Amino acid sequence: MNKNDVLFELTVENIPQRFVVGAKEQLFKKVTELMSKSRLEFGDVNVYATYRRLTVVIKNVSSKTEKIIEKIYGPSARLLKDEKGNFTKAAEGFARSCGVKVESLKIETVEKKGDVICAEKIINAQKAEKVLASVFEQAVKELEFPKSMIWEDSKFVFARPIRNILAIYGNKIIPINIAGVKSSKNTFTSYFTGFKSVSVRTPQDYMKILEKNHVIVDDLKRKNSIIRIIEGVEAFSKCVVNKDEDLIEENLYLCEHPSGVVVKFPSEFLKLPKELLNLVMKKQLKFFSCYDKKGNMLPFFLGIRDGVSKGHKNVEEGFLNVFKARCSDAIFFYDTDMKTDVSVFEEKLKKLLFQKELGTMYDKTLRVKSVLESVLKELNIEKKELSDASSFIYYDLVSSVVNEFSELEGIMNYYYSSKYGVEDEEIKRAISEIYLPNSSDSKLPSNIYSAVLSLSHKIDTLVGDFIIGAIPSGSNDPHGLRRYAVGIFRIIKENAVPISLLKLIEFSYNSYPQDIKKKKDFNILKAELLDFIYQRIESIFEAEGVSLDILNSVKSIFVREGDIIRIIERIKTLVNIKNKEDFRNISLLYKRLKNICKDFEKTEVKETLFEKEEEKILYDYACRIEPSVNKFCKEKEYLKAVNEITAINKPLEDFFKNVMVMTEKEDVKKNRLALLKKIYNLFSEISDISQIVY
Amino acid sequence: MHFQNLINKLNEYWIKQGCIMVQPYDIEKGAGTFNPATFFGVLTSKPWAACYVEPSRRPGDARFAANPNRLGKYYQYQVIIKPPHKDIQKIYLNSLIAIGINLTEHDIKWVEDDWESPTLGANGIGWEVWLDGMEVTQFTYFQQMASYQLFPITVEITYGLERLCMFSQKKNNVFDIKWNEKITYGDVHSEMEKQFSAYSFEFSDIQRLRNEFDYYESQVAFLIDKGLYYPAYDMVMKASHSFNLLMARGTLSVAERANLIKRIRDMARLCAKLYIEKNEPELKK
Repeated sequence: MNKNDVLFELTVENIPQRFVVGAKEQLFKKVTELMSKSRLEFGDVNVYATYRRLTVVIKNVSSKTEKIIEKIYGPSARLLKDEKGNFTKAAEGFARSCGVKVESLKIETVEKKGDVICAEKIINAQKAEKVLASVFEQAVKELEFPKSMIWEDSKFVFARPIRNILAIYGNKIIPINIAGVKSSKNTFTSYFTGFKSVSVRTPQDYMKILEKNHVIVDDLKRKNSIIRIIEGVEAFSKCVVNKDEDLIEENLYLCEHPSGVVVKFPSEFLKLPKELLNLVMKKQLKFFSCYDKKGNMLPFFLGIRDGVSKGHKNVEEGFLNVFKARCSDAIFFYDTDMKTDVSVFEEKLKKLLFQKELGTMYDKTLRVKSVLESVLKELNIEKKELSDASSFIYYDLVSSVVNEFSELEGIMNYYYSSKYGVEDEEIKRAISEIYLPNSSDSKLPSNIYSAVLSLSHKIDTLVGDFIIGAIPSGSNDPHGLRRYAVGIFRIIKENAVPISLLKLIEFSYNSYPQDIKKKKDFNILKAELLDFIYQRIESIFEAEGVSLDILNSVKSIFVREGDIIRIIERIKTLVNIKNKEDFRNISLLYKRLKNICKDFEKTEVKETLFEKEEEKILYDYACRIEPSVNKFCKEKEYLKAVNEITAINKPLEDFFKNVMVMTEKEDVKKNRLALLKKIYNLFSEISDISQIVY
Repeated sequence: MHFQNLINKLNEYWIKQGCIMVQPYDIEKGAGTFNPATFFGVLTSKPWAACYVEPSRRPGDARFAANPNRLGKYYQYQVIIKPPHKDIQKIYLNSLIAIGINLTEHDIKWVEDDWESPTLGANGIGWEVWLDGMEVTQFTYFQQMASYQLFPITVEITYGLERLCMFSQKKNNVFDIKWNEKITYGDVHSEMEKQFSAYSFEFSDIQRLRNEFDYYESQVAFLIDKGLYYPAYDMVMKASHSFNLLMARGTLSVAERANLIKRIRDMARLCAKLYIEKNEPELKK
């Protein structure tokens, strides 16, 4: 059959950049789905987008659908006619719903259902243009956006007004009508070429024609062009450009034809913190900051304009002016903060609420300090300067810079540290890194002092919220407690801080005043919080491909013991040995063990009650390895401990083969159960291996 | 282009597009949207197109004429068109050409910004228009006014005249804008800015403002009862200005602020309701 390519382009008034990627994905999915149902043959589907265009190209679409007869099976055959031979109401209804005459109904035999009424519906061949029109109309109608609007008579709902539709099959127009806009063969160029109308004869012409008019429709090509601009600047100016993915994407959907504009600015602005400058450039202006090899910011930035190189001087000047205006604001805030006496910060902190039931940020400061001091003692770290400096960790929250640029919380403490009288570089970093890590792949605290301070800050929020019952549920996590839990896990793991989580929770709980503590008993808090943190740990390991049975098998130990380092070692060990044959055998034996002695607690064994040789052998064996298993567990050498235990396979198997546990003699039976419990308990510090599944 | 010529050019341009040139409304207000030509103009189904300069007062933004970009009183150029032509973006861009900006030599970006006014119960969907990075226009398709879902939709185009003129004259300080060949914006406004800054931040009578707010509110109810929505709406504008002055003094707590905003919104709603009842009873919701 004859085949042709399809081109569909929807012109929309500037779609917000944050909507575009989602719209593209949906459009691809919907068009593919609808095409599959359409009975047209079709090849590759591609979707492209700019801020004004959503474009779909479909390769090799057949020119029409074939005529078919569709069979629709209905109710049982006995419902076709009544005893007088007239069609029943049911039959008439069925025929109507299928759109066929009741006389045309037939009876067919269907597997499992028997004889049923069957309607044969003739679906005529349809031209591709007609089918495609409904595909696109429906796909567009079903697109969803974070926010939508109406603008014309039909009250069509979309992200922004739809202004043009170009839709062709080969060289024929696909007749589409959406929101009062009729399709044609025309599209429009970009604003800087005056929204000129251009005619597109075939889908193959489309990209070329637009490119000639300075519109790069293909996102990937446009992105590469931005990257080439960046690399060009790096090579020419011997610098490193901040290649922030989000910023590249923002520019990608703010330009149809990106051109780079490098703008020099007076170096006096460099007295501002580089994070602040970068934020002004990125967030407020969508510019790229530039650095030397050592990471010092350089006095120029890269802006991306939409257009060609004409009038570059104008744009350069405009970009510089707006940058200066924004920086003047920032300098004003920064200077104000630098001039403000520290005592003012402290006073403001006393009025800044942390949470209604948990006091002010000043109260929080005191608690974090006390937790920090306990942690330092526990770790045998002597650093009085750190606990002194911890009084300042929330000062920047009341500064004008952070008030204006909340993203700089923490970071600004580094720049205010001279005000606080903090000189030590590591401590300066510590008080500016308490929010790290702030996502699952972000930077970690850069030194041990940062790490313990960040832990103290995070545990205080977690413990406080859990005391007052502000526990996240579903998507509701306003204080970002899940992020905090992941943060604690990552710090202990990756910064290798040898502290037990349980201790941390204890320190924090004890730092709260009595009237808050009494709202929740420590043991309940501990159980809830450890369970919550374990859920985070589970999802981290799951993402790394660790199977759920392994994670389930160590959960109860974690909730009892609250030790992140140990739990990591256990999981690693189990991942390592799960598929080894010895381990597999013993885990199967342990399932049996668990069933037999699940309600039994005693582990005292009397040798005098042994009746069989196998009991004795097993007991001797257990006694022999018990001390070393315990020792290995204590030293977190779980692999060695497991290897030690797996040697018990043989005596245990022999025992099961030759010894009857549930004997009539009560004392012998209890003794045997105690022996098995003892064996069972060998694993108690490693994993509930009965949960491992194969 | 001189400040006054800029206004002239925009008037000329938008009159040619079929707008009637109404005039600024003679009561203090925070933005051109408050002008009855917009507030009432957008509520009904009749086509409506108007343009005007609107002096807008933002007491809290005043800076004693010491900040190059901030003013306690400035000028908006307001265009509203109902229903908007399908080429409205192009028509807007052509207005920039009309004031001497060659689009091929500049960068224009439409950055998502959905305008809303909680005091008027109004919101819309639209953008800030950036000209070489500087925000010069707010472009909005109103969706709601006085909490009424609007239909047909009105487009509102609001130019910041000072910004646009600074851009056109390449000035970095608003007070350096040339009003004509001899007079600057600073000559006309600098002293006024200083005095109004002092008034807004130091000498306004807080208790009196609070009382006035209550008085205006009671008048709205009274006048609506008499079927007089225009005088009632004047009271809404006055209440809103008292509120802005109170905000500038920093005397309102968060809760109080929210409460006053809601009270203004309720007043505006009453005016809109009566206007719709009188003018398009079939639209009554």
